[in-house]
Amino acid sequence: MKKQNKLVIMLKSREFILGLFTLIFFIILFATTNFKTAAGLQAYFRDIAYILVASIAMTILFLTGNTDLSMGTTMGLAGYFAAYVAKLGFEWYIFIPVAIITGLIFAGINGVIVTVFKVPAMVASLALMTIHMGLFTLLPAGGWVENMGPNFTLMGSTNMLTYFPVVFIIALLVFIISVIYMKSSRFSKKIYAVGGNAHASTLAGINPDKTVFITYLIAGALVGIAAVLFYTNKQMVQANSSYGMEMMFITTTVVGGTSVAGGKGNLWGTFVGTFLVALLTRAMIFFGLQDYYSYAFQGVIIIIAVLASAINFSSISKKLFGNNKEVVCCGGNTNEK
Amino acid sequence: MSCVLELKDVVKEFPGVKALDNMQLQLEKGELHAVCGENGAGKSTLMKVITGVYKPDQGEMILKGEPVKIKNPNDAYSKGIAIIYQETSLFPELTVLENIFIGHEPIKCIAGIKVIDYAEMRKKAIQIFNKLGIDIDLDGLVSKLGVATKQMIEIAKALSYEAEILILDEPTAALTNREVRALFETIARLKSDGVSMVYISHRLEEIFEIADRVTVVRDGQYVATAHTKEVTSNQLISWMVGRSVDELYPKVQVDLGDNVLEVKKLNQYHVLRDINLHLRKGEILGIAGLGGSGRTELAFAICGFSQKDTGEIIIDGKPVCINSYRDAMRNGLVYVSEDRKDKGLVVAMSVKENLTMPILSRLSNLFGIKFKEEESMCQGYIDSLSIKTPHSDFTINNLSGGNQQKVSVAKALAVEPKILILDEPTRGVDVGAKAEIHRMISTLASKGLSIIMISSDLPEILGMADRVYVMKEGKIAGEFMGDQVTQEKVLTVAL
Repeated sequence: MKKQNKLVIMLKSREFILGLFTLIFFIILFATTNFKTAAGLQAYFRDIAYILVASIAMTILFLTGNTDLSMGTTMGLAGYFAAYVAKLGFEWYIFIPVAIITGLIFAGINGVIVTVFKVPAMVASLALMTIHMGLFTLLPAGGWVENMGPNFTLMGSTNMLTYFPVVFIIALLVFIISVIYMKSSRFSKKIYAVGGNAHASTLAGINPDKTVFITYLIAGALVGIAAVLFYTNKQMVQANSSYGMEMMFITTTVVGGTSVAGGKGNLWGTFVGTFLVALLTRAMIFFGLQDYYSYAFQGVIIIIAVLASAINFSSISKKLFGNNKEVVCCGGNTNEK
Repeated sequence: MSCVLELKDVVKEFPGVKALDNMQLQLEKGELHAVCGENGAGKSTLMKVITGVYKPDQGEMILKGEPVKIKNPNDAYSKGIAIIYQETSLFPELTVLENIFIGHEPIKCIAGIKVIDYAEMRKKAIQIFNKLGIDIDLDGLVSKLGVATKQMIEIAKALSYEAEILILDEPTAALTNREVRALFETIARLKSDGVSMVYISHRLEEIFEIADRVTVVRDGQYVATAHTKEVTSNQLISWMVGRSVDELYPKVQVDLGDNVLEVKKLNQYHVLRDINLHLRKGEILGIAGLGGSGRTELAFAICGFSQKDTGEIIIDGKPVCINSYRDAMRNGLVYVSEDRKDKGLVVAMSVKENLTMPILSRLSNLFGIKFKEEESMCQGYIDSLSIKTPHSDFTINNLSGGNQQKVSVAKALAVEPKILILDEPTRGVDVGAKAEIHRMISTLASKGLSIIMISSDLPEILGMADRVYVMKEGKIAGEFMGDQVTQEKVLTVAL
């Protein structure tokens, strides 16, 4: 039995190289701009908070081989309802569950369309996103809530140890719980199994539809939490302001190495991906780039980061120095029948 | 000895096919019971009925003296029946440990929350590995492992359900000789532990080596059961075959011309070994052999789909260099895939679009495709191969299997080849269409086309081929002339 050195495995891992890349970028930004001020760092960590939680949701859906394009708009609805309830004077122990339940309901609808009616996740969630956009206009006051009062905004505006917003700490807690869950719950293995090989998972006695549906629910709850983390910092809540954010959650997930086809990836990758993507968004502001440059720049950095972390060093050395002993065996077994 | 599992008169029908008819099986405690039969005889269907993947339409299943109905694979596991499938059912991105216990991980409660008990899992896994006499890194990803190791993990997974009945579906199909030895040792250990096993295989040597009894199935029907000590391999083969060759094979005798294709000393590492063959003008050359014996791989190597290590290909007496399928087509070689839906045709496109796909450059000029020519050419093939389609713009998806196959042949013919390689030309088509496709093949040969026909359907090879090569483990193990070949001869070489 050959065991590779754990340290070597870690150093060669995609997450580590991506993390290193993020760190270098962080240092550059830190040294050259105003990013190092308390306000700059707080803003960065506040961004990370909601992106991280929503990206966890996106990651577990990706792992089952599904997706949810309505995540941004669901976040808007969850934030709106939470703010609405908060404005009526209810405390956090009411408005947070309201946001979570909103997330659960819309994710549940999505899950039913995908698992019961067998509509591809991409199409189903795209349709739901459009429905959400319609819902926004039907909401009282056009989906706006203002003057929520301190019971709502306190959570978003409080910082710990000067640099760390409370929402960031909450997001870290959610992340830690998620990592433990993905390691030690039975259900998490089903998520990987269904996404990796749905047919084989059936043969192992797993119900793929049920697994996908429950994953949607978990993701929905996480999106509800992400909504709270995002909106409690705002002076007013505008339901459609989170439209389009799903693309950012997809970016963090994919940059983190999770396979779009399902079955492959992990939360640590998403964690690092979130730090990178959030950093890029901040960098645009501090470098003072115009919007139209900033998106292109962001795209280029992401491609570089992904390439750097996806490079397989051992295969490159083989290509460079040759390894004639190893002949690639093609063909494989033809199926009988 | 007592019977742990008995199947009585099991019938399973799929739309249009009776996959199992009056199937019987008796498995005794601690025995290794082989089930053998030709490709498509219903072995795998039988196993899927036992493990609850399919529900039988009729018949009874008796487990330890009590009639049972198995609802789903999970139910089978809980009743102590586990199966190791031919195609691996492991999850590549999970670790070995997680794979073994997927779906039934041991759990413990920490503060009322159920979590996976990794320590317990590890302990159990090591116990199972000791029982099997193997040692695999529990934390490694399955995607990094070889086929033989994966097989062992499958067995470990089955044992983790504390299975008393273990079904092995062609476990040696993808293993090397040494790995097969290791597997047999493991099987012997399990047997001494009292595990009853059903062993599906069509490798007769293996059956005689390790099985106690053998049941033969043919065309979904039960043929016979015998002790391996009391039966000869010839007898088994005659049980497995026993079909008559009739007008399904309308072969026309053709005067053969010179060699069109010669292959000399073709080698491909681990796949093909020292292949020499020749093909004459107007000849139908059959290539028989078991699944995995290298038939398709040979076609791939000749057509340039895969790189060959050494070897020479001579067409019409001239050595040619074939490094890609484009080269092959330029030299008059075309290949019709066994998997028409995935590799042969674009099923969402029309008959015409599929048919003219490889020759569009010939059918178009500066301004685009010459539609009239395309249509008339397409109509020509539809008539000459009698493809039954309402019109040439009909979507492939809506055609029957036989007609789809004809379209893929027509597509190959549109290139105007000298040599046509057909891989399993009648797989998955019904008997009527089969006869028509055979008639078409025969007509093509009589017009001077040379045809290589790869097939698992032995009667088809016997009925159609002028000459037969039998492949085994990447080598050509035998050559027979069409009038001398019998099923027994082919099977003796192939097994």
